[in-house]
Amino acid sequence: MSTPLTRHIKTFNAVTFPTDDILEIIGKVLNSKIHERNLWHLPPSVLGYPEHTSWNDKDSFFDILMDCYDFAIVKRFRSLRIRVSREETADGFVFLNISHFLDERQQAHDPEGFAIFKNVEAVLQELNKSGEVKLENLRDKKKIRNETTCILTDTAVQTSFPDYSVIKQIIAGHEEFGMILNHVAMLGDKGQHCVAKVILHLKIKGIAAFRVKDLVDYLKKASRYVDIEIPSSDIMSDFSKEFSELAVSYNDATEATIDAAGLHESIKKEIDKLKSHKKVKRRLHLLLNEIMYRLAAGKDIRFNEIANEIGKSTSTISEDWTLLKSLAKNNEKIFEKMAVGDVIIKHC
Amino acid sequence: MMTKDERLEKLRKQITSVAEKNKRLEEALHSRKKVPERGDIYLFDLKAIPEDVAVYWVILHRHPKDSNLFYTVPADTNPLEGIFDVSIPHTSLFGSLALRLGQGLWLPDNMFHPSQRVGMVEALFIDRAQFIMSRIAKNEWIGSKMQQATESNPDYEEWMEMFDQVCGAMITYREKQLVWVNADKKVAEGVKPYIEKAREWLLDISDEVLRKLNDILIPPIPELLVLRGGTVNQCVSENEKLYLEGLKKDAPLLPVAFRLLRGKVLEIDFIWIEKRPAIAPVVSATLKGVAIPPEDVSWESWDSKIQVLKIRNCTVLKREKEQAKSLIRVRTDYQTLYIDILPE
Repeated sequence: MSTPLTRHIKTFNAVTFPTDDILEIIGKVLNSKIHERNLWHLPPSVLGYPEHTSWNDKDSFFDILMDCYDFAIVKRFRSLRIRVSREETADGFVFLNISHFLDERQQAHDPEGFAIFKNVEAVLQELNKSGEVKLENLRDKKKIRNETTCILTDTAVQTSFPDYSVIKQIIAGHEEFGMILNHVAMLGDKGQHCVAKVILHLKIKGIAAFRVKDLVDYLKKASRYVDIEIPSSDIMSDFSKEFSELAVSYNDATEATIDAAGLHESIKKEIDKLKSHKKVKRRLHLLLNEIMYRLAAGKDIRFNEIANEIGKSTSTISEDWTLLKSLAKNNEKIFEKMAVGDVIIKHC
Repeated sequence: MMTKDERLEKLRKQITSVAEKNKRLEEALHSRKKVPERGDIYLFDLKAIPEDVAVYWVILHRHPKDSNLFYTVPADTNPLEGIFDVSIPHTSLFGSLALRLGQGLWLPDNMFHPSQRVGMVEALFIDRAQFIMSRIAKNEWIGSKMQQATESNPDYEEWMEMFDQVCGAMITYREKQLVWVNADKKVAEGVKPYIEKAREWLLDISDEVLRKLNDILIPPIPELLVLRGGTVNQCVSENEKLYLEGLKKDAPLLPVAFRLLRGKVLEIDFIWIEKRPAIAPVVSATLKGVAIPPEDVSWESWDSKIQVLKIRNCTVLKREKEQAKSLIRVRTDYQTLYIDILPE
């Protein structure tokens, strides 16, 4: 049986958008998933809405709903269209996309909180598998959530949990507390090793059970996030500046702008014409490809990242960039085209 | 900060743009060749894929030595990106996709049917994916910090476990396809002497017809097979003529009738091949370029659906045991098989 969402995808167009029933369905699912993740009590900034101080703010939910619709339907439209052409419904698809939307926003806008939770989740899963702990109150296909409880002893299930202040005091008393705080917000082995130490410490100190929420909340609070932006070197800012001077711009992050494929092909030909060594030409091709990819993906163009991807030094990349620019500048017509506005990656 | 109306207007623009993009993609697919090409996206119906997940297969490149093989990687719309994943941005024709480079497989061309092609990825993105593949192959690729962190994300681990199962199902599916192709070719070889005979006796069998006959001998369900020769000879009785013409019309591909001309009378014989001939003997086998002695390689069992390749005393394989997957190449008289070996 066709559902409203499926019909919406089949008849997708801007003229009828927004239809209240579709926004209502997506809104309900989004709401319940935010609730499952216990995100309502956190400020909207953790999901990338610093302009709203609370979810009670007018329009705060509208903003996240629009972004969610964009992520779950607009940006994955082709995939959904294929689905509805082969199956009866695409609802499950859209709902999974909504979960992925929240994952992405949490990871992007609250990376330390996201990392701490995922580290705790990974460690508890392992300890549960090996029988070291028991987990109760699993949600959403047996997943660890904030309300999940972790039982550390083999004896009867404890009915009451230690106060948050007790958890806090015990963890703060760990002899490696400083080191733990330095690493716990890093998603990976180090962070997970620290979480395991903390849990073991709780057990040693006689804690029989705890709520995941209490552990996560304290670790988040204790490891105050220091926003370490990747330093913008002069080279990188020059790079971005020069690129924008070439009028390669995205218009408001929507679809867009230049005939990137045409530009790509054109500069490729210029590179091939060069009398340079094969290796240099190959490097130029790689640099061009990386720049065009980043442009299409709306990513920042940073020398150090590109150098890392290509496996060359930043100074080499800088020299190549100068050469590439000189080639691109011979393509004035193309750059004029690029300056028009929206970028469209055309079929190459 | 945008107003409500501005937000809605922005989204409307995006919807228009996506609808146009979808149209362009349809046009691009329509004008593309039917045969698989680099950048093509296929969708296979594999049972291992959970109901609400779509796993696409994207062709990255053709095998340099065997043009019938394509290196194909699975892809999906989950934004989680590990070290061996490459994301295709939403600005591409198909929209957001994550290519899982670490799970790629060589797939033969006969697995790609035009009806399963659902999209394509632009050369720009395929070029980049190939470059990253080359760095992975040289062990030079470490990915970004974010990608490294994602590897430790339990959601990602769970997602990739699902992918392992999907790839396992794809390997099984591919092996079945390879077995069928191999079997069909063997059957074709088995009936070749009869075709040669028919060629001597039938006036109208040209090389072209012979080629077509060979093509015919890759049937969808090759359980029973009969050969049919060329057009009806004037010596044939009217009834036989009608019968033969009817046979051709009703079953242009199968069954195929084989005729013998004796004197001035055409006899119609049917060669029913009910049992497949033994599988082709192995000519040579290598694993990652290291030769495996031919006497250690054999097809241990064979029935209409399954063939088992056994390799004995193979130190190369023992060394490779720890590896997640190893590619073994086996060359027979008729074709080269590429087989992944999974650890025990």
